[in-house]
Amino acid sequence: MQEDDVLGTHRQEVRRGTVVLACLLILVRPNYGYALLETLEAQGFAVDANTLYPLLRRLEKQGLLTSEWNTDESRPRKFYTTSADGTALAQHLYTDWTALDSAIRTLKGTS
Amino acid sequence: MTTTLTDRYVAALTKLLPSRQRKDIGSELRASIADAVDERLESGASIAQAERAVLTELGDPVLLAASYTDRPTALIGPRLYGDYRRVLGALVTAGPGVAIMVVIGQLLYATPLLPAIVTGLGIGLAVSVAAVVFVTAIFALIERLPRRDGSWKPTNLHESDDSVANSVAGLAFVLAIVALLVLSLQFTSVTDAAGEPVTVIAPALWPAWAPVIIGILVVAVAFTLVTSYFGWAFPIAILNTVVVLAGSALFLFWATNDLFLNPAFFEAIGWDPGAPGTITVIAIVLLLINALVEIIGGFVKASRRAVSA
Repeated sequence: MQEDDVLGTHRQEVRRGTVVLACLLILVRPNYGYALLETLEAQGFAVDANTLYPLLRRLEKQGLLTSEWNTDESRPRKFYTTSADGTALAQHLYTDWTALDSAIRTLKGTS
Repeated sequence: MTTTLTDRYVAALTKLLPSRQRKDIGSELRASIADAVDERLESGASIAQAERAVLTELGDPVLLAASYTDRPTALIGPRLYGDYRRVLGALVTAGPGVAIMVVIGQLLYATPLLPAIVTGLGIGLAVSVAAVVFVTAIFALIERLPRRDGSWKPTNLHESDDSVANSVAGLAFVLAIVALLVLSLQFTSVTDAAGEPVTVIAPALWPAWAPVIIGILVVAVAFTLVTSYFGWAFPIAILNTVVVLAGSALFLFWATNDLFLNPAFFEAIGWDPGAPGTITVIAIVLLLINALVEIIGGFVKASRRAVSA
């Protein structure tokens, strides 16, 4: 339905900006691709696999995550952890987030 | 051993990745796919269903690979699209223009109207198609070169000779003219006294000089790419001067060695024997004027950039 499409795209835009912050916060504890996907979904950040996996690589390339192959189990998995730079950036993003939150609340008139 | 759907998917994706990333991304993706499949198996799907669902969700491996490598998934992206549209707009008159000239030319040596129109339309279409193809290919190439700040500024509205659009339009025009000249060597309805087809351009020019002509085209294309990448600066203006002088010298060489117009053609259509000579002189004058304009223009553009930088 057309209304759903419009709502859907705008919702996606709002969520798109928060996935990076969510990842950086979650990955303070090391985790791997699929498990992260599930955690994000459980926390309400519905993100596609084909968005998340390249995103993790990009964040690693930017120095915000470090990665390590874990061969403990029969299925080797690549574990990501938030780096010091990543934590610092997350702090900046979180500050922005709270500022935006209070700004929106003020606009809505329920602060 | 038959390959599974997953094998084929990962293979299709990794072949589009740089070789040093293939193993790492491939292994990680396999693990992620396997995890996702396991999840679906737990809720009762069959292996085939689970695999298909997971891969469908991942989507086109070409797009996913592009996402991994940050490569463009469009031939010409938003950055250049404006210029691209403007160049095509400028060239939209080229095809019909050429068609009209050809029809007039045909009528001048007494071809019946309908065949003249058909020939004109055919060549006009060929020129239009060639122009679109060259322009698109050049823009697609520029899109993939490392970025250079050529973003649109309000000054671009007036300094119309300063943009990518103009360089490409000029180049496409040259390429189209050359294509037309080469085509004219294949299609001619004029025959001499012995019934042999005669072409307007000296037959000795093609294919004997083909490597040189193609070399010139390659240099012209490369030069356009260089100017769009580096912008106009004094070294570029000097390079431009060299290219223009070399091209002019080559044309002068051809013109003075009977390698331009074919006298037999003019004889066959009954024009004055001095006609090719006169036309050649006019062409040389126009060429030298154009060369002068190009060379001076190059330095003007370079100094303008230096001032505004």
